[in-house]
Amino acid sequence: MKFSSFKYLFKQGVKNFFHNKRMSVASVGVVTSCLVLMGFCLSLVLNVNSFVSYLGDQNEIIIYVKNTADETQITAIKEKLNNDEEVKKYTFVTKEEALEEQKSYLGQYRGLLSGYEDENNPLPASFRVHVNDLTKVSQVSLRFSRYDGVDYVSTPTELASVLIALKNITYYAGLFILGMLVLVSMVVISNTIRLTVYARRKEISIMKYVGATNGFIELPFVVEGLLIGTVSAVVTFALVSGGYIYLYGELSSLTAGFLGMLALSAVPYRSVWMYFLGGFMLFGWVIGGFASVLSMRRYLRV
Amino acid sequence: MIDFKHVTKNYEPGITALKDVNVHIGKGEFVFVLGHSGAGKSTFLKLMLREEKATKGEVIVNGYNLNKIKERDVPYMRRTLGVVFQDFRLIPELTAYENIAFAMRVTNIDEKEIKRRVPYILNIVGLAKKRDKLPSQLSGGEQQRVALARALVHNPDIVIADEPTGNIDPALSVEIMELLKAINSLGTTVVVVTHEHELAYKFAKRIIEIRAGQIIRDIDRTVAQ
Repeated sequence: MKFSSFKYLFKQGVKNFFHNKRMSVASVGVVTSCLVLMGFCLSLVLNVNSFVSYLGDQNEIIIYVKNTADETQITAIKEKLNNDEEVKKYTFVTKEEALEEQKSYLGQYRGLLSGYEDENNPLPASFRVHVNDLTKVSQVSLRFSRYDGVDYVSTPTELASVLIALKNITYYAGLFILGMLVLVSMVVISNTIRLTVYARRKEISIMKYVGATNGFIELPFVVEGLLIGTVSAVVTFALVSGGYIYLYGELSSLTAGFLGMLALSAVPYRSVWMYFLGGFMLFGWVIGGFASVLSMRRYLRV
Repeated sequence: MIDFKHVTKNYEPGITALKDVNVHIGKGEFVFVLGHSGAGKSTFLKLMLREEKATKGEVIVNGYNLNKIKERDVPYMRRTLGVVFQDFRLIPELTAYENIAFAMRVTNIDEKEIKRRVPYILNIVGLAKKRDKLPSQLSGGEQQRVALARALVHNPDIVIADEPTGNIDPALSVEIMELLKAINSLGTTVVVVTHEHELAYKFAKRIIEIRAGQIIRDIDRTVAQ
């Protein structure tokens, strides 16, 4: 396509957008509403993921070492932990450290545990292990329970499964809502374009008879669709960013209880804005472009 | 140029618009396709433009077999034709010049060529002085001349005119016909589809008459005269 032709058809598309002002504003309005809801879903999914991994980080597998285990066995376990891909990090707690920890829990009653030092210490040494992926908790736990020198492995499987379920529900619900919103937006843009196509059916028929290819006929409408998508994406980005910054600020001021935990795990705006911008632009363009092509197809079948 | 070989067109089972039509139109001919409304003229036209496909038989236009042509090649086939309609089909917001330039722009012709070609064509149809007028500022005959200029701008091998005088008064009809005749005299094949017998017998070199989907008469008047 020659640049002058491209320029001409591109201009036509932009002209259509401003010419059908009411329909364009209505389309931008509806698509923006859909994208805002999409932004809400995206924020929710990102934050639930962050919350789940935060909680996941607080939970650990504890590998208790047999009191009879020797240094070689402990080193062997350490080596296995170092080489295990699922293991994010671990700490080794000696018998002495375990006793000290218990004492510290007791606070002013720490004296109750005096006399349990050295060979009287009943507490086992242990490895406190964090895994990369919560779904792999049982697998890792089972693997390590089989090694020599391991007494038993304590695994927070119940909590892990709750967290995994929570993550999955938000993910799939988010995906479903996203799908519905994409569909609604496409129907709306497609209707706008169809009206333009109808209003310009004479021009389209002339274009066909003088031998314009489908690409030439479609281009102005695709430009119009993309423009609706772009304007909607920019408006949405501004709205969602404003909302997100406000809510993040409000949440950060909370420190107590469940909300405090949420605040700790909330994803700051500087880590999400590019997802918002990229996501809205991408969806705006895909929805706009695709809807235009779809609504054109029927008119080009001559 | 144009070949119809045993062409039948059925719209629905039981509705036959054309039945076993055989026609050859050669280079440089000036042909009128004549018939009352509902005779099958429009179907004949639609088959030539590849708006419709023949149910049976073959339609060949400028070397393109329209039953076998790929969809993506249809626009290129149409560029070898110039089409004029009864209702002119001009874009009301564009001037005479822009209406013609539009046809060139949407077929990927560069601006330099447009600036050279459009004034030349406007001159041929006698509208050089009205290039900046909108269709609403032109008479019916002038609008049809703009449409004709648009059809000629690609230098087509065949000009097809569908009831070109249907919307203009008789005096101006003659003017349009004279113009088509002049175009024909330069070697372009001209096919006029019309129901106006009088006009046909006044201008045609050849008349093909269609009735109830069949060709009932094909007169070569250059031989007859």
